Amino acid sequence: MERIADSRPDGNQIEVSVFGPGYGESIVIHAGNGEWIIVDSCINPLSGKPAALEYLERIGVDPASSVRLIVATHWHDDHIRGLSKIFRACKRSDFSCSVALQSRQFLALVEACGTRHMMSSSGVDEFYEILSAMAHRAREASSPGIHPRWAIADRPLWRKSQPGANADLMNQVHALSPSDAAMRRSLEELASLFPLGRSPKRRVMPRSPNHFAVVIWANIRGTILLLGSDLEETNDPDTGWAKIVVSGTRPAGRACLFKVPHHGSRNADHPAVWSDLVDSRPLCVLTPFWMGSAQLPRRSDIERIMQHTDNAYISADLKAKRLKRRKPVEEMLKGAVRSIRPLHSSFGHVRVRSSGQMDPKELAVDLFGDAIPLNAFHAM
Amino acid sequence: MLRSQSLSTFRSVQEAGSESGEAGFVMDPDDVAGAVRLQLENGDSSATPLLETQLSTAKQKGPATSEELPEPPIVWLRTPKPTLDFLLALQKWEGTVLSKGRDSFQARLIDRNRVGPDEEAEILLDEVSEDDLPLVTPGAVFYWSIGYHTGTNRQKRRVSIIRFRRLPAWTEKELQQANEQAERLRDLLGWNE
Amino acid sequence: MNESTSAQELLWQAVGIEGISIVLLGDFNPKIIQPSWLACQGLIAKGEAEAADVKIITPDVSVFKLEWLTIQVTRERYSASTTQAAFFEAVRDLVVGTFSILRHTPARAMGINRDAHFRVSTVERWNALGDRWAPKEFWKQVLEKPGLLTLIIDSPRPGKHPGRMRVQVEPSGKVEPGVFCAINDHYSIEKDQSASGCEILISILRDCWDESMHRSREIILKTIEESRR
Repeated sequence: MERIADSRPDGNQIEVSVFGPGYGESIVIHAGNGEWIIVDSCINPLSGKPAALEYLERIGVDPASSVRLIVATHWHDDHIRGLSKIFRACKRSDFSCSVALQSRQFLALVEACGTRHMMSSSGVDEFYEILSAMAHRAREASSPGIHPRWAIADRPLWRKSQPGANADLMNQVHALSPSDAAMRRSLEELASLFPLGRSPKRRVMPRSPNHFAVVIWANIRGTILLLGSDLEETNDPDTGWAKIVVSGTRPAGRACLFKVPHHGSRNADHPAVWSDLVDSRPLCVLTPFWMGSAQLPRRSDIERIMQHTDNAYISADLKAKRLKRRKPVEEMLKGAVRSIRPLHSSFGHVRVRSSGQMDPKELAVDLFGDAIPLNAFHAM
Repeated sequence: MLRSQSLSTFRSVQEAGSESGEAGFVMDPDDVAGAVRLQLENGDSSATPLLETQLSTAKQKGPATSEELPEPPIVWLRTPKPTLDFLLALQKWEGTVLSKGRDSFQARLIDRNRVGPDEEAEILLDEVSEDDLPLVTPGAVFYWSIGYHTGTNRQKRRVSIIRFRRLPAWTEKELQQANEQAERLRDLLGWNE
Repeated sequence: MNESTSAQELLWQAVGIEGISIVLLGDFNPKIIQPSWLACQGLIAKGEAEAADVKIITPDVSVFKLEWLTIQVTRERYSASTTQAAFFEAVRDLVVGTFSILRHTPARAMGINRDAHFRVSTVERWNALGDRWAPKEFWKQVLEKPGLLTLIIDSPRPGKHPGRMRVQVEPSGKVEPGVFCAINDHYSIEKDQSASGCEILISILRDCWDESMHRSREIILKTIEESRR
């Protein structure tokens, strides 16, 4: 029988849970004392529900009262499916996303390309729903305005002191990106995605590299986490990882847990991240990705990551298990396609817990569902 | 149960006004055309050139005898015609084009039967009709159905149909409305400060 | 595929013919809505317009057929229909597209209609179904050999848009022994909204299409299931 995580962490335990179905990812963090943080959202293909919400409900945590911060690291499809449901459920939570999403350009794009004109894609749809929920709350609230914590490089997003603890154990979450230059590129991209008059109606297709991605640096009870989102290295010193590693205003410290960015791709790798931002031999977690012929991580990516650590895990293995349909359908498919594969062929959960007040670097890893050690991944 | 004969009267459907049902199976288009022809011959002069031939032929024949024209009120008995042309879908997807190659395109497919997960496929361009080929661009939406088609000759064949969605192009007014709505939202949320 | 969807797929195999139609009631100008106009607006391909079977186009009535679509328009009623399941969404898109362009058309009600002819395994079951829906004991007192010709059930529709649902069942004239089941999902506009009625109805069509199709499919499945008792 497949293992499912169904126990709540103790009040003193830190937990980082990474969910990934082969398309998308979601991270749930227990910051101690029943306070939770959710970073991004994906759907469990088996249940159709947002993985983060489903997990919290399964372990007996009430999202409405326990989630303190939701972070949307960017607005692309694979990182925010189901996020609007999470936003609606977590009524007491702060919300954070890239400062570029505050812009007229982004809101106009959402208004134009949301459900109203039937050109919706799930990334835009989710934000349309989140903005609708915000508007609803704004109308009902006594003080007007809804103010997310806008993420920009080196800005604190959340701080909470631990009861009875000294200042060093204050929980903190910072954004390390986007940089000012990345923000400008984001706005340019948004402007270019806005439709032109008399152009055909099509779904919005975000561009690469991803200038919106919010990298999270979190210090939870002395345990430092680096969550790399989808930030790529752009070879532009003013954007990407190059800008982060040279920043003089980012928080100090090295992470012992590293969520490897952009599914382990070479495009998101920067040597200085390994030398300056994370511990030697950190605990690494990543999620896989498969679109068309692009599968991540590749074998070379795994080898590169394993040179830095042997303590690495991945949330799912990309086994191509297709649902076979009725024979007449399968026969017609054979003639019409060169290849066809499911987007979510597997779903797994990597859970990392610390033993509380002891050495925070003693992190216990449990694997659930299709999660496996990285060196067991079937890479191309 | 008895065999049914659906009664349909052109006038009563119009006069009822409240029925938004019984659409395609109430009026056979040929019946409608015939009903209008009868109206014209009874004095309604709003004819198109299409009907003038029939009208002038009728006039050439001389006044209609009571055997040729039924007396009003007119009742059209609808008999089921075995010549219906229909397609039953075994599987339907809604797709979005991700990229286009020389002889194929990559697409993300959502299972409209709600049976399987989303899929990605490399589909041959040969599967797309000539008229739809210019529509194969990243972001374009299409519908793909596989099923059985039975023609008016009762012959059944298995078919795969890809049809690209066609909607009116963006108008300046729609885009302006999106911008205005965005401004209102920013004001409401207090993001314009 | 879970067990429930698998069972539903099996039940749906009893369907022999299915179709949908979208009907609007209001004030229309039939002579505008013709194949060449649809092609000009980019709503159908030029080739489709050229191959259209035009029955009649006058200021009072417009009726034409494409390979997959039948359009019938009078001054009070617009209808777009198909019996080809591959084109159900295309019909919706065409109606949305047409009345996005003609958005000032006064429209006061809309029906999203779905119907199916499905097979019943035996004549005995077919008769038993008719007896369950319309018990004959009373009618035998006043008629000789009473039989169910058609049955219509009406109900308010759940949800935020005012309207009603109407389900009609009767013996099928196409599938024997079989049942014809037609669902009319009716939406109406409040009188004070009539000026923007078309825009409201089209937004309902866009937003509620999936839900309406799902609901009508469930009704047909239930009817098929009932026929198997």
